[in-house]
Amino acid sequence: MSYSPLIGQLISALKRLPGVGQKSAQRMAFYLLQHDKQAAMQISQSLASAIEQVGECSKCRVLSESELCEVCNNPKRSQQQVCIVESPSDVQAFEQSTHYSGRYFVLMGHLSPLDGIGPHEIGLDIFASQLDAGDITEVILATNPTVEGEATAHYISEMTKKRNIKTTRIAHGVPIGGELEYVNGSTLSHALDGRSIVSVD
Amino acid sequence: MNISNNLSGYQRVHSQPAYILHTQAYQNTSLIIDAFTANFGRLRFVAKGAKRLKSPFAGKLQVFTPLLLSWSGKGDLYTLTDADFTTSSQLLYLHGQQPLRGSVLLSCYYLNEILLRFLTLEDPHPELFYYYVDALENLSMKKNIESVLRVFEKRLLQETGYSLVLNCDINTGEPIDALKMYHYILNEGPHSIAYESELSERCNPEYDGIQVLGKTLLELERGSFSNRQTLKQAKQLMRAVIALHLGDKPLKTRALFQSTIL
Ligand SMILES: [Zn+2]
Repeated sequence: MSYSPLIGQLISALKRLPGVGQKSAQRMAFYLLQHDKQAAMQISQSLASAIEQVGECSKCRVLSESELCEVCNNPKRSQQQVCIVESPSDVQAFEQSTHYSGRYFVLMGHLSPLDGIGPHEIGLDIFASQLDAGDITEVILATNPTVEGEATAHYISEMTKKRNIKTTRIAHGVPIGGELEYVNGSTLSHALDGRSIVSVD
Repeated sequence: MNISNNLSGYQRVHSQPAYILHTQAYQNTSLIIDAFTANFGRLRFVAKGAKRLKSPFAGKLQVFTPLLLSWSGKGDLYTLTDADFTTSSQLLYLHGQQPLRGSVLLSCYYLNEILLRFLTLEDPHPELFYYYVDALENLSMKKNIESVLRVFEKRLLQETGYSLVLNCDINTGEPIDALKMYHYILNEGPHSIAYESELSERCNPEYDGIQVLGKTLLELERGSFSNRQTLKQAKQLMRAVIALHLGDKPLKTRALFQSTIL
């Protein structure tokens, strides 16, 4: 079935969302255009301004519309303790279910040598200059317990070891091969309490 | 072997020893997997829903982990139906740690990358599979990394039809003399350096030749190295040979880490 050009465009735009196929995209498009034009306008406006104004926090790389995100800008949170995670959803997981009071650094991925994703691609050059600036005293490695996550954690622990910075790795309670995002709150909380010093050999 | 085959080419295969070489995300929750199987060579699978938390595949489809894979389908992309740890992989996890770290881990990625580049799909290499297992084990035991890599590279070339001549001068047929210098012409073999003047007329040595000590060739042939110099020469030789076969597309593991090991 063919649609008028604008509707067709809208449907193929919606299909780019994760989890949305042809059928759902079609349903969303018709719903917005036929039944709720006001919501449609709201979505289009907030999307446009978010795209324009939201960037990355210059310190931790989470999405933020100000130079520094809420966590990095919060005087009550320790800026000396940095928890390194793979994705913004891992930050959410920590914020919702632990009492962690330091800040984060988000890699937006992990080392993946065969995909050409190296230290630079996950922002470790930025992180290195933060380490060199000298106000970080503890690094908590919270990359996923997958082979790639371990490789990434190891790479970072070599960076911190060179600079004599205390480094811990969350370990206890997180299942091997699991993704932090899906671990329940109490497991993650336990994992944070039971973190251990990373030894580099 | 647990295989059923029918006339349409549809296969159903159970519990085959395999290692995953590479995975990539496919659609929202699935993975495309490149694996090296013991009996069927390199194969490509789709693991449907593998990224879901409750997927039977969850946490299992990891590189460098001995697995038993089952699949069905036909053609270039099979459907993965089951994945199990073997007893040895369970042991690794029971000890609660990843045995592979740092430069060892990078070397393991390098092995995977050269396998992906050299092996075509559906081309069985059972010997090479066991060489790969052997290399992973040696690496995880922290044996001399460079030596393990050189031996694996040599075996890979051998198994994929690019065997290196390492035991005789290809001009004279005389056995290699440990103390002599040789000019190794890629794609051909070692010429003793006395032939250099003749060679320089028909090749550009910077482009397709490399100078090595006879001792290096003999040690590479034997698979054990006695000192830094022969190891270093073996690395230069292997780099040149591998570059020749892989063409313009450089190896990503090497470019990324600029490690001296690879
Ligand atoms: Zn921030």
